[in-house]
Amino acid sequence: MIVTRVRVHPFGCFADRTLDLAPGLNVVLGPNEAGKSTLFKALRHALLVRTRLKKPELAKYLAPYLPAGGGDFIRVELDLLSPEGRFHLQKRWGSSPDAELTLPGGGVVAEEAAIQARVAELLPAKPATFATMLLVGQAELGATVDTLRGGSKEASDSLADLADTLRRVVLETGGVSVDRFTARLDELRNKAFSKWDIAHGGPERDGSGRSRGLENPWKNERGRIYEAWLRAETLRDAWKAAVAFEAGLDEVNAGLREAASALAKCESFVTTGAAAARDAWERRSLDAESGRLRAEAEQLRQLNREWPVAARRAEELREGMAKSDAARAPLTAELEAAQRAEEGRSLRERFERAQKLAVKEREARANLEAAPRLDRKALEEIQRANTALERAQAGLEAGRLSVTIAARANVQLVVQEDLDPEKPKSLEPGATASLKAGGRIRIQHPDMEIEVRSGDADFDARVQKAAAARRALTELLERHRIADRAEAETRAQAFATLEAELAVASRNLAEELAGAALQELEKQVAARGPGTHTRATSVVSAALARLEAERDALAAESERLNPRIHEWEAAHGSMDGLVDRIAAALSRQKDLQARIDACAPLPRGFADADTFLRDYEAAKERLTELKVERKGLETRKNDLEKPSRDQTAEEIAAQLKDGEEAFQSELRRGRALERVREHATELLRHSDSEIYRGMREALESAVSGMTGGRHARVEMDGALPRGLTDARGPVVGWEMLSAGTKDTLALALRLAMASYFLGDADGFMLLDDPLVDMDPGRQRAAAEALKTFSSSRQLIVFTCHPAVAELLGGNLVRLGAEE
Amino acid sequence: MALRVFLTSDLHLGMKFLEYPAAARERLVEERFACLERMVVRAEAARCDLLVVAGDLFCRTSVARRDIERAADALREFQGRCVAVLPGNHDYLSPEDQLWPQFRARCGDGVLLLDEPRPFALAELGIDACVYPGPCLSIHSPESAVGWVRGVARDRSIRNHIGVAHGSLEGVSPDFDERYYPMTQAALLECGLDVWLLGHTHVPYPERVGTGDRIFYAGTPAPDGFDCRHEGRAWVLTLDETSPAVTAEQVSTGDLRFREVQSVVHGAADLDAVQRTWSGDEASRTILRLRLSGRVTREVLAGMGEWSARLSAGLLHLDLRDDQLCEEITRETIDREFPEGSFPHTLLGRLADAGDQESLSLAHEILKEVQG
Repeated sequence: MIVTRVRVHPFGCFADRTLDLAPGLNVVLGPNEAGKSTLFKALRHALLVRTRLKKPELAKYLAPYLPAGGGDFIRVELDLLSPEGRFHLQKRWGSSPDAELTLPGGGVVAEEAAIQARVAELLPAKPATFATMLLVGQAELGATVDTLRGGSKEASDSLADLADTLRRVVLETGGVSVDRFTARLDELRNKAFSKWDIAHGGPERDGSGRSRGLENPWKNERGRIYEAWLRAETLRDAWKAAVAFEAGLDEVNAGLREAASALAKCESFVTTGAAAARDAWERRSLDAESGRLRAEAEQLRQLNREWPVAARRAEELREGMAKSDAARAPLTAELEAAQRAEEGRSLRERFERAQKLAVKEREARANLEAAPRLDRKALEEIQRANTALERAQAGLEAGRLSVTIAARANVQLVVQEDLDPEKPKSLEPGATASLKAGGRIRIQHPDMEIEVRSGDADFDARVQKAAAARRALTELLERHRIADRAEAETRAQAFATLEAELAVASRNLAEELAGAALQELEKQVAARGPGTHTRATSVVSAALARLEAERDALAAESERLNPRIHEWEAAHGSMDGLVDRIAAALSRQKDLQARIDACAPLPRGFADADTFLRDYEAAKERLTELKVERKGLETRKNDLEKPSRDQTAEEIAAQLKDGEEAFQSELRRGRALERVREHATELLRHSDSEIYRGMREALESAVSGMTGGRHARVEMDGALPRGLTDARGPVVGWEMLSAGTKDTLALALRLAMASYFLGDADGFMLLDDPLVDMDPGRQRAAAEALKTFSSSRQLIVFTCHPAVAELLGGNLVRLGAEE
Repeated sequence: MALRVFLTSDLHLGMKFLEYPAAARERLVEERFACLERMVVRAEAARCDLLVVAGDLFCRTSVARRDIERAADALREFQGRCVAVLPGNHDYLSPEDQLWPQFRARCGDGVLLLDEPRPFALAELGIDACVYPGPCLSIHSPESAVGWVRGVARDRSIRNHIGVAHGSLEGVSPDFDERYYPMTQAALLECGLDVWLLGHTHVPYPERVGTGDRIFYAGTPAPDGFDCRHEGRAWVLTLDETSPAVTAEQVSTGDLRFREVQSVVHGAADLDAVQRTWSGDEASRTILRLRLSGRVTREVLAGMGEWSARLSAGLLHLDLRDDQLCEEITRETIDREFPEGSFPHTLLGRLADAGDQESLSLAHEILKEVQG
């Protein structure tokens, strides 16, 4: 699209001005304040600014451009030429804002949003990008790089658009649009994977994290994979339901078979046993009566067996007790006699013992009287005399002499030791004799007499004393006519013994007599007469005790037995009466049995009506239960079969297999799509580093041309130049470039960018005095570049320099100073 | 006089074939009844005395009454001495269901329903034989229904003793969970019967007839799915009067076929060959599942719709699965269609290098689609 006419009436300094523009290069020449910038703005207003402005926008888009001569609105009209034909665009801002687009066919679009949409289609780039890249104000050229690098949204969007544009230029060939390809890929991917979670291989969860499976499926925007999965899962669900249905049916059928079997058995029992059950109540009563009678008869029969035995026993007991009573008196008399006899024997034996003891006492007395009397006092006197003698002799013996005589020939000697009598002593040759004495030894031999004395001077006194003691002793001994002290002691001992024996005999006798006199005992014995022979008291006593024990046992048994017999007699009168009652019971039992036999027989296996009736009633209850159970099972089966089931589990399984295959097929195709997408994304990412190459080359060519080959290479940072290299080599950073070089580079960049945006299509670019800061040499080179650019595109250059206008040539449009 | 028996089973009357289009569905449903009628004629032609259906005459217990009556009418037409029908695991015997009462009511005395596990002497029907059936009472059972036979004394005055059962047979019919009335050959032979006539598996048994065969699976007489590779079979068995041997003759009974074919296509010639193979009378009675794979030119691929329409027209039904059939994209194709270094060229080249034919074909398809 190019602009063929611009009319402003009014707009800023213009009350009504029309500019006719041509394809290719247009140079709008006018001095300062002629309104070049106003026209530039008017063009931008017409293309990009809506007529209905909000309050904050009025200051920006309306106030600066209200007519200087007064008025409350501004208006711009554009004639636009595109391959579709001629468009006429008219816009009014301020009072009565209005917009209108007349289409090539004559149609009119009055709705502003539609107008803007249509204008956007006619523009070579998105409106914002168009404004940034293709409408270059005077102050904007030099600041191109800084502005674009500044990071504003417009700048970012513009650079992104540029990148897209470059990408298309670089990558699209043969009519294949990357955008359309990726869009189509995304569309196909969405169609395949919509509502499908690729990472988890299942349906997407909803915002609250809920699973959206079979029970809660997504309703809209379902992709092919999800649809195929849903179909397969629906089939799987149906298959599971069919399997469960068949299993349930198996179970119900088995239950029904069991119930039918149990029911048949139960029904048969109830039916066949009905008559028996009907009679069983009477049978049960009769059975009970019969049982009672049987028990009573048995009891009576038992009594009938027991009664005679008991009666006989009672008689025996009576007889036994009578015998016992008869045997008791003789035994009692025998016991008394035995006791008397035993007392006589005892008295007599006592008397005899006393007699013997009296004899012994007399004998002891006689012995004592006959024995020589030496009492204790006399004995002690003798013993003292003897002791005195022994002491005297001991004094004599204190001067002990010892003489040994050794004979060489037979010798006859008379020897005396101390005062002992002299004793002859014969010695043969070689024999020896040893003599010992207290104070003197005297040896007489016919031929001599030897007396040996000890050296004690009192020996004679002692001898005299000893002799006196001897005499006193001898006198005493003679008085009692005893030989020596030993005999005295013996006699005194014998006498004491006899005295003791007498005392013992006297005491024994006294004890036996117990104070009585022997004669008195003798009289008592005589009074009793001779003893009689009886059994021992203990024997008789034991016999009597046994008899009494037996009697007691008989009495006790009798006491037990007799009440029972009396009871029986009270109940039955007599044993005959009992027999009558037994007969009556048997007779009644026979009658009952006849009535029982008349009842319907109990089924086999039942011994009594009670058991049968219990089982029968239980069977009836069970029958009811079984019918209920069967009904329940039938209902369950009906419920199971209620949903129409046209297919078996096997049939559905085959379909499920197909469904799974279809799902896998969709999944496979989706994955293939994903792989395409991954490759394309990767490729586009890598391609981005290449897309600016063409632009850099175009930029380098333009810069080289405009700088006379001084700067042949441009270092790029994405879409923007980072600096230049010159012939000397190193990079000169953007910041270090001169203003003129920056303008040159900026113009080259603008043209390179615009080339990409405009492509081969019709389009236009506005530049406001692009060469103003360049030296004449660069102006020429830049003018050449602008001419080249405008050879295939519309370029509208505003300038205030006639030389520049001349340099550029093209369609010259002059603006008067008054305007 | 030899006893001739026509053995069939697993006709599954009442199957609905819902996964097929109406026309094919109608043919498939109708064919099963037609097959029954043909078998009756065939059994008569083979001079069979006894026609045995060894289970699953019907596909389920809730078959439409008209289908029950139609089956009964067909069997009643048998002019031999007796038709014996055994309830199988699909049309099992259940006192609550109306299937067999309705069937019996329609058949009258003309058809013997083997509905009890007891010997059925056929003397009154003029057949010197006694049948020992194992009627099914549910869809599944872990126990054979003919366990009772072993304990039953044979009536030696009867010459032929024939067991009829429905269920799996170890080593012949897969039943890994033992849910389908599992039987073993040893257990059947121990019963001492002259022959066992079985139903359940849709494949006839034995595969090759021998002189000592005593156990026969009828197989389905009319295929009902792609897993049935034969054309529908039944047996004509002759129990010789003088010899214990059973003479078996297998007969074809089905009219429609299910065929599943995989074909690798390299070009139009291969498709033409497929077309030629599936044309003619047999094709018109065939449900064909055709899996195509391979790489073909864009032109061939573009003509697939027309080609499949032609193929389908000659078949009873075509289930075409050609998602593995792609346009053949070669390096030459890429170089010819896109300038080197361009996005399409680079992308396709990468996919070609990766050997990812499916993605390559897909990417090419999209690129061509968006190409102006």
